[in-house]
Amino acid sequence: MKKLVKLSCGFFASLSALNLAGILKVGVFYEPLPPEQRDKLA
Amino acid sequence: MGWTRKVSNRIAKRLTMEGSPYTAGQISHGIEIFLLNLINAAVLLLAAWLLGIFPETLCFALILFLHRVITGGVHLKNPWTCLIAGLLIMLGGGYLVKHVPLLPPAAAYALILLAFGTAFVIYYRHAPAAHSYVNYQPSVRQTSRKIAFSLLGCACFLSLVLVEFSYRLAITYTLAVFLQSLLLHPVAFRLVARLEKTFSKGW
Repeated sequence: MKKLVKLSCGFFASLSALNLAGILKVGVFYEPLPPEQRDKLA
Repeated sequence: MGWTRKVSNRIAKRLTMEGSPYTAGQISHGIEIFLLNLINAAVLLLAAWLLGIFPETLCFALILFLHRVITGGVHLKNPWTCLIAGLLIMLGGGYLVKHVPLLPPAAAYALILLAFGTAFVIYYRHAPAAHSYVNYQPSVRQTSRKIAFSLLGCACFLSLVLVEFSYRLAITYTLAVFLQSLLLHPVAFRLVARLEKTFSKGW
């Protein structure tokens, strides 16, 4: 279970990093708020 | 705060472990992207199936998505309007493809060349689109441009070849790429901004 959570975290963080780097623009028609701004708001 | 952000923040908080190399914000951002794509795809496929345009919409959406992942394009500020706009565009594309009249080969070739010519000019001037929140590195922009033009070249070649073998697929390819190029044009950005302003005033 711990390994699965670790894998999921890695997957989602990679998705976020690829999107922010501009390699994969996967935010269809809506672009979510980037991590730094989320962390600030949290 | 949008509902997708609330949900993704909640899931990210549960997933984030102590000593993890990723922040809750990173995980939450990734979850929100994944969630939005999943919801959009599920609603789109269901609606396409109900309307009897499933294969056409699936092909159209896959091609448009492939090009959009590389070039980006106009974005909306709200996940709900994003869902509605995405649905309208994809279903409209699927419907058009299903009901497109059979043109003589010469007219079909001319249409494909005209659409790809326009797409090439728009890609040349505006691809890839800027991110709403961050600036891309110039090297990434250059690589994205190279991939986008390679995709465009392949799409044009395939569409021209497919006219003789699968007319509908050729038109699907052409229409999807042409539409994606239009979504890169500054006019689309201005139009979306104006529409969002009008709707936010109205609601």
